Amino acid sequence: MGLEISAYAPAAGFELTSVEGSCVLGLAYPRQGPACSALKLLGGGQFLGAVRADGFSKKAAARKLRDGWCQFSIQLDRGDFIFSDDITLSCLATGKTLGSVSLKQADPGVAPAQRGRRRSVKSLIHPDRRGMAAAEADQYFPLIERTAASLPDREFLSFAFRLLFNREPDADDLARYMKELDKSVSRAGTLRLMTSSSEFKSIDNLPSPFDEAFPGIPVFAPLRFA
Amino acid sequence: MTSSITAFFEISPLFERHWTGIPAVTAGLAFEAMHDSSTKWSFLYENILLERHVVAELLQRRSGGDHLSYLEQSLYDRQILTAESARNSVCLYPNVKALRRFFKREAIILHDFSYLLTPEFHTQDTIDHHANRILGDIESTDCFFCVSKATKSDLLNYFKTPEHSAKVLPIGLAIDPCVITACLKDRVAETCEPYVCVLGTIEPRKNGQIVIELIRRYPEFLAKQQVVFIGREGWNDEKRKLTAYLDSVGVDSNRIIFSGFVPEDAKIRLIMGSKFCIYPSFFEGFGIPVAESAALGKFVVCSNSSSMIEVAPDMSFFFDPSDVESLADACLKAEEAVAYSRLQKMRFPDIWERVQARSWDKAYAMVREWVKSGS
Repeated sequence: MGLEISAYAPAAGFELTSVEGSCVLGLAYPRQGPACSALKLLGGGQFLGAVRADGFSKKAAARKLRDGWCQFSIQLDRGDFIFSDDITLSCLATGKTLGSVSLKQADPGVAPAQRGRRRSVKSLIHPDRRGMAAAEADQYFPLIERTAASLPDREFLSFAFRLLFNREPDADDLARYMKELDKSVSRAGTLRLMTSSSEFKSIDNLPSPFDEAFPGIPVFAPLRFA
Repeated sequence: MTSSITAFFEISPLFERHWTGIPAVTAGLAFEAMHDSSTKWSFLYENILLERHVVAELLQRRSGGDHLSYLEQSLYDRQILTAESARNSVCLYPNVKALRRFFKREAIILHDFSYLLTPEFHTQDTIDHHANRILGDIESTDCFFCVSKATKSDLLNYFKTPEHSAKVLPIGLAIDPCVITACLKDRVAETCEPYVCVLGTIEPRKNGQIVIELIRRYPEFLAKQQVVFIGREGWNDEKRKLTAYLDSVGVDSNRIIFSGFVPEDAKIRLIMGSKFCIYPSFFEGFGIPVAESAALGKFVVCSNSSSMIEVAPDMSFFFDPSDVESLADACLKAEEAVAYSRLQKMRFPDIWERVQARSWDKAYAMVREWVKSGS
């Protein structure tokens, strides 16, 4: 056995949630730890590619699976089915077979020709923060509270500001929110105050827990299997 | 069967926040060592014993910046290697040696001697630190793992070490297949504005100046594609000097981008989206970015100095790093090659085969053989 050392955690759970056209969605989640799982796509014995299960799913969040951060999305094209009519999905960390998608289920497209304006180079350097829209920030609250649980209030505010506003709190921010915390406003309540501020309304996206921009090592809710 | 020899691996470079050449090589070998159940490996920061879960976390996060408090605690708890433990063991050092003749046998990974051979590219502190240590490190070492034939040649020529004690380590690559897949599915190369990457830290040795000079002489180069300097700012205020020079010669600096340090994902994305890459360094011990670019199917306009001619000659167009016309000629050849090759059409299995051809297991096999050899 030994230690699992890889950028990705072994998948303890796997589900295919939908196959629509060329898009395959599902969930893959480890038992514990800050790393997400990832899948290996195999067709006819050929390694066709790999995808991370690092996307957010509301359904997964409702089921308390990794606070929702365990969705994978696979975009198939006809070239993926050259070697076989079936694509096997296995855990990238362990190689264990988890599921499969057949050509009968999917309707893989041909990649459309690029039209219109090309993307900028700067978008490759600084991609949009890959988490979710700021409008859904309350989905982050359990994750923020758990990750920052051991931090004193001042460090908690620094953590929350770096995540929500992409900056450190200034003296005024610290004064304002430390006062709220001193009044026994809960940390969740303090987060709600931050996300109802006018500054937060100008924020588009928040980083995912697996982004470099996430200001700490995420602590996900422990899995509880029935 | 597990070897009876206890082997130590000093992995202090993994505690750097941003990993480049030396930490990347250290990590590649440390990963293999952690997975080798046939050898009793222990890990050190200088003489501080490291718990395996800490090493695993460093390798998983590919950064060491938050672990200094752990080291302080380990010192306080006296988790120090004893001379008795070391006496019958072997140790592999990733760069400079924290201890000499502490172990029964010692090996070192030698990256380059640039601080001796090209001191003009280093600060005096760096020169003093390395130059004052290297002779003692070499005299106390039994086996030298050199990252290139060029480094091995320098070792033998300048230090007169016995040839049998020096080996050339086949440097591996660790590229995330998920990032490659995402770039191919996003069709990054086809959907982005055309650009070329200039790889390397922004400092004098990496020779970014020659690319600026190329643009000054041949403004049509910048008209055809943007130029992206990928790398953190190094010493000697080089980035400010380059941008000041750009302004002074009236080059459109909006088409020249300095990315700064970028995370690994972004670096791979930038390489895969480029037309080709440029590596104009004056001196290298190996040149990992050349190997990465070539593995990802990108031609490299590459300096013909030191180790760089060894790395990926089949994917390189070489030039003299002191001659702008030589660079211009190599860039033209790269552009033609891009136009006529089918490399842009490669699918994941083709790229992965190229990446796997440079896996770390070959380098690790050499290290394991030394551990078990007794010499």
